[in-house]
Amino acid sequence: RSFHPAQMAEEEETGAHIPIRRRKPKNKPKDTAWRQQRLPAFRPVLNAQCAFPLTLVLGIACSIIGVFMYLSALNSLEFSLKYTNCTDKRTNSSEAKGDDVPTSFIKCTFDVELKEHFKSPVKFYYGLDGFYQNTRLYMASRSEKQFTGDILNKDGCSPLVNGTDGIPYAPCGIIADSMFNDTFSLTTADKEPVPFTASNILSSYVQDRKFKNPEQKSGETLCDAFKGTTKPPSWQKEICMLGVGEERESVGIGFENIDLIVWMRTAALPKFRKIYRNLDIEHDDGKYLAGLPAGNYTLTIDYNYPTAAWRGDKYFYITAEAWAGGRNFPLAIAYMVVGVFLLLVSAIFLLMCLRIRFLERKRVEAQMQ
Amino acid sequence: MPHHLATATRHINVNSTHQPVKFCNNVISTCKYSVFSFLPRFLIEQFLRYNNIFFLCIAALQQIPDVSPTGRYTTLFPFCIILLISALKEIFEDLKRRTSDKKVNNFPTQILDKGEWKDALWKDVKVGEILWVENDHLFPADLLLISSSEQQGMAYIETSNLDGETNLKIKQSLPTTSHLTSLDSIGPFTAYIECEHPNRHVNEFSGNLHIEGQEPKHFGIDQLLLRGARLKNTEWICGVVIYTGHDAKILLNSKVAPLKQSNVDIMTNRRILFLFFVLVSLAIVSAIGAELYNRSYIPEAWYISWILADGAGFLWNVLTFFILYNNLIPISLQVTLELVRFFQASFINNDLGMYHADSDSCAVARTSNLNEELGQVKFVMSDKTGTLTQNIMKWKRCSVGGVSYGDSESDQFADMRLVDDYKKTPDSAHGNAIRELLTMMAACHTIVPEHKEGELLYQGSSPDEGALVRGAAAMGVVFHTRQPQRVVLNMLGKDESIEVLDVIDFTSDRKRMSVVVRSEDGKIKLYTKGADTVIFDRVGEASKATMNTLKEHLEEYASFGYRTLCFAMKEIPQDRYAKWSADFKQATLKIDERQKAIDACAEEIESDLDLVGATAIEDKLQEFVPETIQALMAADIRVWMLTGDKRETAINIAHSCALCTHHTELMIVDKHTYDETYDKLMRFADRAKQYEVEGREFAMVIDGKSLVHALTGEARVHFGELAMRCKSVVCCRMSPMQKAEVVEMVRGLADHVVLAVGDGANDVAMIQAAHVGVGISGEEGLQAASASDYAIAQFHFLRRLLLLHGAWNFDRSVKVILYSFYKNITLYIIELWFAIFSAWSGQTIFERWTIGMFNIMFTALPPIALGLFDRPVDEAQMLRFPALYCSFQKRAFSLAQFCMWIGMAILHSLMLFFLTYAILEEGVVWAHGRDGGWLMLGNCCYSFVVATVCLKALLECDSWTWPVIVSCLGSIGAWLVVLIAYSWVFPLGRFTIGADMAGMAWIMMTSLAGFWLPLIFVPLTTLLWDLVIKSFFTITHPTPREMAVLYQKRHATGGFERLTRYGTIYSSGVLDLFRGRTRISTDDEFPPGSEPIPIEALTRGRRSSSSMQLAEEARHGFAFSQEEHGPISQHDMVRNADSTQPKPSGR
Repeated sequence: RSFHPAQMAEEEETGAHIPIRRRKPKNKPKDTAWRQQRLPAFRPVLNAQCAFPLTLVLGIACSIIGVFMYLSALNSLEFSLKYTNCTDKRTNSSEAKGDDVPTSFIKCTFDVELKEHFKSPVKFYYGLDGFYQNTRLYMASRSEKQFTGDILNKDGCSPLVNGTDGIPYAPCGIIADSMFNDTFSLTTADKEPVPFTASNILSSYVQDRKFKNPEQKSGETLCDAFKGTTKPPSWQKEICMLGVGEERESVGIGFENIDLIVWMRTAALPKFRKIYRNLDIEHDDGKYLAGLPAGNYTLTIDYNYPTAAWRGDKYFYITAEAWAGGRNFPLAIAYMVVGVFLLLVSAIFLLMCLRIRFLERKRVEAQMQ
Repeated sequence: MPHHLATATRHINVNSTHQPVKFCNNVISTCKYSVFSFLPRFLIEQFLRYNNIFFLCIAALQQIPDVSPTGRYTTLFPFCIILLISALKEIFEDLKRRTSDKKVNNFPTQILDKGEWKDALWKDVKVGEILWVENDHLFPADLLLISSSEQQGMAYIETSNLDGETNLKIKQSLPTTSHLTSLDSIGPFTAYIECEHPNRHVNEFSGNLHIEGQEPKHFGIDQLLLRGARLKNTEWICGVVIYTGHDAKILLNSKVAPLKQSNVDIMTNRRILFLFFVLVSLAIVSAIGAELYNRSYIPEAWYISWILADGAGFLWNVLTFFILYNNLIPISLQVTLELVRFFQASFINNDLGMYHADSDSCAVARTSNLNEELGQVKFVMSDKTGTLTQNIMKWKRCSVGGVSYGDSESDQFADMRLVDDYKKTPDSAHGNAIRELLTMMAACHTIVPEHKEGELLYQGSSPDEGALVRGAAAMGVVFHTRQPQRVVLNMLGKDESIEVLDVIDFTSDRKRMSVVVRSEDGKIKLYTKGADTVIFDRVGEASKATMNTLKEHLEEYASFGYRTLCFAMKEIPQDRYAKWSADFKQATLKIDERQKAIDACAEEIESDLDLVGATAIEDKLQEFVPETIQALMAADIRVWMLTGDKRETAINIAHSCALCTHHTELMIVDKHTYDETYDKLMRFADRAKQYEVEGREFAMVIDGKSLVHALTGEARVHFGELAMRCKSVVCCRMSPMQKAEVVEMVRGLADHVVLAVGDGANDVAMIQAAHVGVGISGEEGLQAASASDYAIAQFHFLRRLLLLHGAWNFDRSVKVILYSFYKNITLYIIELWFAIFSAWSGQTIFERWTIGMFNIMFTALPPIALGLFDRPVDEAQMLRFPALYCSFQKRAFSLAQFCMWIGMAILHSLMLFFLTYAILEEGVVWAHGRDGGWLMLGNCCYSFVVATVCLKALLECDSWTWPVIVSCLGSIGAWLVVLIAYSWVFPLGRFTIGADMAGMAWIMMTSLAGFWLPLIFVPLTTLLWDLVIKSFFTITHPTPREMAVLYQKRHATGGFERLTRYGTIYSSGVLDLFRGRTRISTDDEFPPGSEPIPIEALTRGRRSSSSMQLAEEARHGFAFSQEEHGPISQHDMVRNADSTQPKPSGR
């Protein structure tokens, strides 16, 4: 029954090392590439022969991209106007210089000279500099649900939730309250207004899903639907009146107002531009189909938005952009610099590679002799 | 032991179902958790880790309203997932432990039940029961020996599991019970035992056996069979169970398995602590920035001035930024590492190269958190018996009359010339010598023959003697009968009876054993066998001539590492014998100074001997031991041998397993007092320095007694110093606890990783004390294996375990850790750059959930792939160039490496943010002129970060296998898919989740200039620096690993020559590492990875060709294992044995 050591010894005497398999090897690991860590592998080693072509190719690629971007930037046209101090040129002199919140209506005009023809599509932007739309608590102060039509939902709107009388704001929250409300109009030298449109400013997805007016029962006006709410403290209009009068530009009314939606998409950086309007090419019998011709225009600004207190600047832009968007020279230059640097590096690697070859050949020759 | 324990004793009713108290059962458990203890223990363990506490705090802080920039659950959710994964892993590992315990608990045994032997399992064994244990079986519990198949209730047991001694020990039952050899007598046997409570003293035990109607009998350690020991050369024994389960001495001796933490873990914790301080300072700096804005800008800005009214104090801001930057500490590092280690461990388990077909066992990684520790080993502490040696003795050579017989190649002595030479000239001096040698081999010993089923078996406590007797039998001199006064040999077909007159015991002081016999022709002969030095001193003038040739032969045998034994004899005239015999009898009867008297008496007769010859016995090494040790030493690992065996044996094995060579200077410390030891250590420490200067090899040999002194007080310092200098150290006569002490001493000397490898229960303490414990899971007990961190079937698998798995896993784990730091810093430090542009308000640049998911979704796989599939250098190369092992160690997890990665992370984050900034500064990157807003910047930047970080993983990976490529590119793809899906979520019922993201995918992905082109070029530009720097260093200062890869790549074309030149041009130093310490053959044949290089022949050739001048006794192979001072003296043993008596069956 038992296995005697002497027997074992005997077996070893006779059968040397051949083991007696008492059972099938059930513990034997499987011989697969996966388990035995033998998956086929490529081993990149960055020696001179490998690094030289790599840096060369990348260098060329970077340079080419840089040049392309530079050309693209050259192709896109932009007219920009800083109008922060528009109050200097105000047509209505009832206000003191360096106003904060203007108490009455200010209108100012600027001469705009477009030296080149701005090809379609032409866009108009307003810009702010020094406005931190990206501060944490500011960005949080909005109610996503309210904008989808649930007007009494004020989640996250702190600190602007209810008015003094306890009536909730619509829209609530600081972002909406601080909405940009300067308006712009451009007229040609002939005093003809350049047609603006707000269509195609936003992707329909965002518009449809995130911003919806409350449902109107039959016979109700939008203002009835917004009943039970009040306008944010800084606003001049009720929410249901927002965009009324600009229907021609398909701006949208109430929560669906394009200007509101654009503003609610908070900017990433303190200097930002937001789209204001597109050039309406279909209007005026296709007069502007090819874009905005070179020439003199007059920009009229309804100046409402105060920035002087925090030394902010306001801009107005007219652009005709190429495929890569606006004029972005720094990036193009960065690519070119990196490209050239890589080409230099690849040249160094090539030299190293040649040196090794040379030394090797010399050694071989020396050995031959 | 006196009866002073009467007040606190254990009372046992033998063979009864009723015991006075309830004793613990025989189930052992090494599990960490039970069903109920799991949750609390797991949580406690998890929250002992800094980073888990940290994330718990973060999750708690996020619950404070308006403080968290990332919402309430963005830390809690990933943290819970991570804890869940850890929990699953723990459960899985504990289940594995449970299975292995189950295996031990379910070993079969036989229990006496109502007068019958019943089959039972170990776990059923209860105190007081009588067990039946058969030959070659382990004792399931501590037993009191009652009776055995042998005479006088003797039993041989092998305790190598317990104390590492190779010889068998003899235990003997009390005379009052030794007759209970049949079922009829054992069945009704009842008694009452009184003994000590369980304690951990292995060498002490005492108790009383009360049998009704008899005087109480005292019994002691000689009657106790310990759990873990194995019955040998004894057909069966019966024993009463004394201690069960965790009360057994062996289990009391094993410490609770300590939770081992790898060095890498400790380092990682330090780095995390460092990052924590960075985090705190960043939070404070940012809060100061916020304070500046709060004072200058914000009060004027009507749209946000209300923030101040809400009272955003400085401390609140610190908290906000603390939460914002919390991810600088990688949340997923712990779980990634755990997963990686878990699968690394399964690679170890599944390695065919470590599968031992004979025992059908593969390597088992029992703990997985030490995988990378295997790559940092500086010291290997090895047990000898069962680990380095197989504990099988084989007679290999002999030298008679100036002729050396046998060869080293055959498995055991089979040189028929020996017998032929004798047969040719039986009467010549040479023939006579052969005859005497064989007679002595067959007659001068304590072995008892046994006839069983027609076969002749030899039983005895000395494996050396067994080998010789068996060898003689193979040569035709068969020892077959032992009776108290005589032995009977079959001398080449003719029975010859030899009367044994006297036996002079072997002791380690005498180093010899003598037998006085009367041969058939009436001559009285003295047969003496022993160490060569001892024998040579007592050889008469006549043999001086043969002595020199014999010495040469001995030298040769020793060079092979054989254990040699010299044989001498002389004829004693009748009258002289009569006189001496009387003296000797008197000496043995003496009470005072008995041993001294015996020695003197023996000295008198053991002189003027005729040299007969010498034998060489091979203590068979395990497979590929010398190759493995050489490879380990080539990898700059110090190898220590710790053994319970004698010094001679130890040195012998040290030689044969290449631990030291012929040229190695041995520094032997064998002093018995503290002062002597101290002096010796001092002197050796100086000498070691001198040797180092001279470039000579040296090794230290120290025994257990000196070690006690060497480890105390001042001497410890010198011992430590000396130990650090020695390439190899042999420690002999070590108790299990001393082994552990040595390991702890070395651990304490410096920050070196110590690995202990052993196979028996005597190694358990050492295995647990070491950083990494490796158990040999041979046929021996499972104690060592089950206390170890890694169990392997053969010693030579250690080479693969360390040089391949260790080095790989270390490199991989370090990569995983550094990469995890890198990716987190790269992403989250961007928040700092963004803070500059967001009025230090704490606004995140990224969407909050994408931040949370970065670690558990989009960059979770690349580090795991790196940790599992990266093969820094190919298997064959790793094993071929052990020096790579130490070069991997040097690259290690150093501060420089850490800083390099952190620096890169900061550089990358700067580039990623500012390039994105440059692209999106105007915010308009479409022909249609829309703007993307906050998340356009955030998401683009995030996409570039994900791409960069994933590509960086590829760049850092040394071998691109498909899982690595898929996981890196797939992660980028996964982010894009999730981005699209996430953009469609809003509005989802009542939740506002994804409101910010609504439509973002559409917006981003329609921009060629703002998203797609930069997605390719921003990561590329960012990683260019790595690429350029890496190439530059590869070209100018290739690391050994790169050289190894290049070597492999070029092998087909230019071979190694080219690499050598390459190296000498740019960095000769690195190449020295390659050439200097390792054997590099320029042949084109690669040894297959798992096959160790056969260097045995090489080392042996060198040794055997060396000179013969060495006189130091220690170098000679003499070794002889024989139990001394046992319960029965060798003399009594010989006197009492009677192989003609039938053995009782016990049934």
